[in-house]
Amino acid sequence: MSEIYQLNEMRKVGTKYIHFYRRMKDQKIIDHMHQLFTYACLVGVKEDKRSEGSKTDDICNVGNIDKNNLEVAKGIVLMKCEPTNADELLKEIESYADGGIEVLMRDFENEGTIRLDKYI
Amino acid sequence: MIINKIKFHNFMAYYGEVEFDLSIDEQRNVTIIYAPNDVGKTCFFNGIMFCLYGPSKGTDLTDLINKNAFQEGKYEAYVSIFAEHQGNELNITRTVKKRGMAVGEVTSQNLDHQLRIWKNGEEPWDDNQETYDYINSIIHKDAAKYFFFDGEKIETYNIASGADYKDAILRILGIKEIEFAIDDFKRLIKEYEKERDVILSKENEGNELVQQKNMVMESVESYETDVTACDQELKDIQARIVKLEEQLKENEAIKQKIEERQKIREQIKQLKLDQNRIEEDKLKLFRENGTLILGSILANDLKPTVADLITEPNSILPSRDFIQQLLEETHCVCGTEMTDLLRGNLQKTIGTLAEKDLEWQRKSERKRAIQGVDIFSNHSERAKVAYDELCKNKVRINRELNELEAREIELRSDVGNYNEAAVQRLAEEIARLEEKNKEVEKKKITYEVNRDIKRSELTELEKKIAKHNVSREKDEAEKKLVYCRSVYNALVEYQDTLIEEKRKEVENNSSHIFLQLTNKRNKYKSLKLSDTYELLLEQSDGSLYRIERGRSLNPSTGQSKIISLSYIAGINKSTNAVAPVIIDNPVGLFSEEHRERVVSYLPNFGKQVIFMVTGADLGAEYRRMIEPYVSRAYYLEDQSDLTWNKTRIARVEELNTV
Repeated sequence: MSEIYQLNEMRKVGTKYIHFYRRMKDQKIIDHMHQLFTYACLVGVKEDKRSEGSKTDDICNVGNIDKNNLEVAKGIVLMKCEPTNADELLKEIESYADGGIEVLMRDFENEGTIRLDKYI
Repeated sequence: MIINKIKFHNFMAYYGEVEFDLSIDEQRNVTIIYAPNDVGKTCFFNGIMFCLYGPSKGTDLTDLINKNAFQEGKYEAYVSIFAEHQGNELNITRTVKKRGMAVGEVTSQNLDHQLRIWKNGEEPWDDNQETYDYINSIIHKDAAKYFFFDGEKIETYNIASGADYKDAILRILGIKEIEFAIDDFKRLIKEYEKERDVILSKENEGNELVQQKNMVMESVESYETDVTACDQELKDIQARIVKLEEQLKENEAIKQKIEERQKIREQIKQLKLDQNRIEEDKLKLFRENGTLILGSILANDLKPTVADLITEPNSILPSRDFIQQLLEETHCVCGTEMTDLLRGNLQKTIGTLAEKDLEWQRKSERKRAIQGVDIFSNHSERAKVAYDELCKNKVRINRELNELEAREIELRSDVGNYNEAAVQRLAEEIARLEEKNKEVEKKKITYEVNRDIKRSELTELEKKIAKHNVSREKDEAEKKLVYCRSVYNALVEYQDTLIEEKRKEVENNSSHIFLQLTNKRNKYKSLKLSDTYELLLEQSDGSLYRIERGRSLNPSTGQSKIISLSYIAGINKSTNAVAPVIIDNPVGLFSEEHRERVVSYLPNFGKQVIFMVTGADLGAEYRRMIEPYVSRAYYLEDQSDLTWNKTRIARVEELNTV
C-alpha cells in the first residue's frame, strides 16, 4: 500500500517571496534555498503564521530538499494539522514556510540581518 | 666676627640715620628685623654686602642714596658696621659721595665709593687692596653667600656644581690659606730650581742637563694642560648626556604607549578575525542544522498537543489488507473453502472498508512522521550546544574588543605629538656623545701616560742634576730646593687629608641638620658630599640622587630649600671662622611643618643670627617659639607718604634681660 503522505519528488515547491530567498543566498546566509524553506516553515509553525494565496515562484523540487530537514518539517506540520493527502500536506508546508518568511523579512527590515538566535 | 652695631645713613630706603644695636649674649644670639614688604628688609641685607664688598657690578651709585635725601640735595650715604673680630674692635664704613669737587647734576659718573676700616680706633691701611684683603680674610666675598643669603632664593644652592661646593669648603674652613701656602711654595720651588739651574748652566754638562730638564718640564706642563682639558670636556659631555637622557626618558614613556597601541591594534585585528570566524561557523551550523534544532525545540513544545495520538497503541493490520490476503488463500480462516461467491462478497466488503482504512493509514503515517522527529533529537541537542558555545564566544570577543578599542582611544590622545624623528635624533646624539666620551677618555689616558713618562724622566734628570759634581754654591741651592720640596709635599698631603676630613665633617653636620629639618625622614636617609664635591641625596632605599636643574624627580621647592639650609648650616658648624649669619626671609615659601622646624633651628645657625621677616611670615606662634633666643626685635616703618621710602625704626623690643 502506498504511503498517503509520501511527497512526490518531482513536485515543485513554491513561494511568493522568491526575492527574499535570493537575497539570503546572495548574502551567503544560506547555500541552498531549500535550507531556508524548511527553516522558515518551522518559524511559521513557531509563530503560528501561515500565508495563503498562490505561490507564484518555484524554489526547487521536493527531491532536492535535504531528507532529514524534510522529515522534520513534515513531522512538525503534521503535529499541527491533519491533511488528507500528500498534496495538501505540501500546501500546508508551503503556507507555513511563507508565513515564516514574512516573519524573517520583518526581522531583516528591522535589524538588517536574520536573528537566528531568536528562534533556536 | 660679631656685629655689635650697624648704622645706615641715607642708604637706599633708610632716611637719615638709622642705627641697629645687634649686640648679643650666649643665651640670646638672634636679632629680628620686622618690616612689611617694600619697607627696607632687603636694603638691610644689601647694606651689609655693600659695606663689606662694595656695590655689585652694574649698580647705579645714585640708587644707593635715599631718594628723598637725594632730592633734598644730600648726596652722601654710608653704611657702618661696628664689630669685634679676633679680639679687635672694628669699624668698617663704606661711603658713597660726590667725586672730588664735582659740580652740576649728580649722576653715577660723578659719584664714588670708599671703604675705610678702623681697627681699635686706628686706620692701619690706606691702601684699597689691603682693606679689601682684610675684609676677605674675615669672610671672603666668594664665601659670603654662605653667611649672608636670601631665604627665598636659597634652593639654587643645592644644584651648584661640585667645584662650587669644594671652593666654598676650602674658603670657609680655612683650607684656602693652605692652598695659598702651597702655591707660594710651588713658586718658591720654581725660583730655587731657576737659581740652581743658573749655577749649573755655567758648566757645559750641567747646562745640557738643565736644558733637557727644561724641555721635559715643558712637556709635562703641556700634558697636564691636556689632561685638565680632557677632564673638563668629559664633564661637559656627561652633563649633556644626562640632559639628553632625561629628554629621551620622557619620549620613551610616550614610545611605550605607542608600542602598546600597536599591540592593541594587532589584538583588535585578531579579535575581529575571530569574530568573523565565529560568524562563519554559526552560519554553517545554521545551514546544516538550523531546521533540525528548531524542529527538536518545536517537537518538545507541540508534543502535549498530540499526546493522545502518540500514546495510542498501534493497531493491527487494517482489515482491508487482511481480507485482501484472505482472497489469495484457498480456505478462509474458519476453514471454509474459498468460492467465487465468497470472494465476490469479500471484494464488496473491501470496498466499504476503504475509507476507514485510509483513516487508519493517515493516523499511522502521522504518528510515524511525528515520532520520526525524535530520531534527530540527540544530534540537534549537540548542534544546539555547539551553537550556544559559539554565541558565548562571540559575546566574550565583543567585550574584549570594546575594552581594547576604549584603551586605544585613550592612548591615541596620550601619544599626541610624539615625534619619532626627534627621538631618533636624541638617541643618535647620545650615542655620538658616548663615542666621543670614549675617545676623550682614551686621549686622556694617553696624555696621562705620556705625562707620567715625562715626570719619571724629570725625576731622573733631577737626580742626575743633584748628583752632578760641582760647587758648594750649587750644593746649597740644591739643599734649599730639597727642603722646599719637602715642605711643599707635606703641605699637599696635609691639605688633602684636611679637605677629606672637612668634607666628611660638612657631610655629617649637613646630614644631621637635614634630618632634623625635613618632614620626609621616611624618604631620605642623609645628605652626601661625594669625593668630587657633588651634593647628593641618599634615599631610604640606599640609592643616591643627584639634584640637577630640570630633572623631573628633583625634590619640591620647600624640600630644596631645606637641603640648602642644611648644607649652609653644616658648613657653618664645621668652620673655625666666626661670622654672623644674616638671612633675608628665612621662612617664606615653606609649608607649616617645615616652617616650625626651621624656626626652631634658627638660633643654632651660628654664633650670631640676624634675620629679616614680615609679621605675616613669622606669626605669633613662631615668635613665641623663638623668643627665648631673641636679643632684640626691630620694627621698621616707611614714614613717607610719597613715592620713595623714608624707612626708620618705629619700635624696638628689648628682650635681652642682661
